[in-house]
Amino acid sequence: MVYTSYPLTFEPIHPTTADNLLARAQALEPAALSQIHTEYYPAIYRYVAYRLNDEQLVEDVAGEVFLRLLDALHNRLRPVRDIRAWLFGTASHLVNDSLRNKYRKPLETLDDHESIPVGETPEHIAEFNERSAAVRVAITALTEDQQQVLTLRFAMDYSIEETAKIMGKSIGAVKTLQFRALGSLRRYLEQGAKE
Amino acid sequence: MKDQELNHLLDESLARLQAGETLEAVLARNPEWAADMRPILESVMAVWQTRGSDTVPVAAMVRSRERLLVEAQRRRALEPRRNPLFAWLSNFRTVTVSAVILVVVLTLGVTGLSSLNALPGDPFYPMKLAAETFTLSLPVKASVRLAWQDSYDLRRRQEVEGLIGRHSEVEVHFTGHLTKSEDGRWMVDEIPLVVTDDRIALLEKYNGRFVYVVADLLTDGQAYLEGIDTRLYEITGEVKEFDGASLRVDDVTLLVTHDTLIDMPPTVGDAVTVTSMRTGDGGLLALWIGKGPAPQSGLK
Repeated sequence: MVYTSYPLTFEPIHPTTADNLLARAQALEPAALSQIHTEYYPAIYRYVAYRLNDEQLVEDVAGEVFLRLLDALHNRLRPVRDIRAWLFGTASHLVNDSLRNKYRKPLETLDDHESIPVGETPEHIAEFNERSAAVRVAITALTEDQQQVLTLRFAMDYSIEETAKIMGKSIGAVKTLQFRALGSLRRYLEQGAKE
Repeated sequence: MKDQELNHLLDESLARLQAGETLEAVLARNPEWAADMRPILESVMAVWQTRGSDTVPVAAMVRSRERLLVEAQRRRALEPRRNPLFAWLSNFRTVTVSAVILVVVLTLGVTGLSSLNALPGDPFYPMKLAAETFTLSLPVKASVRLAWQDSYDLRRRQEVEGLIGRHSEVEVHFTGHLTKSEDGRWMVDEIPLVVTDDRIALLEKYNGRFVYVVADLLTDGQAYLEGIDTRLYEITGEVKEFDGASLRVDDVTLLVTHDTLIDMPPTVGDAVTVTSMRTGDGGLLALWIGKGPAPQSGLK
């Protein structure tokens, strides 16, 4: 079973506005759908990009998240109460499916990502790529919840409170999950370094 | 050290790292825990260092937005035009059931039995649908509502068969099991579908499922597929049993799997809403379980 939650108290948009926006989106109003897309696409893209690291796949998955939202709004398959939590939950499922299916390209193809600081030497870039790949491999060895918490907290910079609301867990549970995830990550990194 | 204290120390350490302190300086503040905290904080820093860019490709965003809006437009175009009376009844059912009963009884009195035999495209057909919608909003057991829904689904298929006999050209909505014959033809129960090539992949996905279909009937008795989706059932009621593998809501039992999305683990006595689909053996598979006050309409 996959436990999710759709907290009612957390919305980046004013609750009344959000309710109104949801109602308009359920009616497939283009302006409402466009507003939701503009508001949330960048965060969803970054989230997926961190976890998949394949530009084309990232675009496909991020786009699919919003088409799934359209499905949910239109067919009421999964009730949407908190748009952001719903989008991140769906993004997480799609990313996990993608990882499980080994659909993404090998990590070794980590390309010349724009995050590499300008002016770095080729040696630094190679070292950076190697380190990044090692961390990403180690992260994929964690449980889905652990991957989710590390991505939201340290790749997306969400606070504990925001992470708890997105994941539908208590703050205490997220803190404990985070701590264990970091411990496990460290072990996997050490294990990877020895191999 | 307890988890709570470790978490507190981690919070403090993270704040200091984010404020610009070095790892060694942070660890030096609590030397007794430095050995425990070092690997944890090094992991955090490793993740931070691999964060990558915050840049989102504008072209990707534009493409995604266009796909979303085009898909929304396509769905809007496929939506059946709602009869004004149907909409009126739907809006008022939560206000006063008795008033709606009166309206329906009076309306049925006027239209008589003719509406019961109406087919899509007939003047009284919207009345027939409105009466069905009304019965589904009555406060009855979930199993009763489910049985009514099944009988209405059967009625839709019989209507389509009647229209095929008339060689009618009209838009129809019906349900059934999607199958593919050996010669590659798609059927929903006994109704043959006309499918464009771009829909084949979609149909493969739904093959074998109990589906909801929107189609245009052709004079040759085939149905030109306009839209298809899994037939969903929304069941609301009180949790009677839940053991992780099955859930009983009122007198309806649903299968629960690891793919079931659960808002909060249901406990006996809770009011829940369950979105479900048919399994191959005619049972119900829970897709989503949510808590909350049950709406008046248990099955829509």
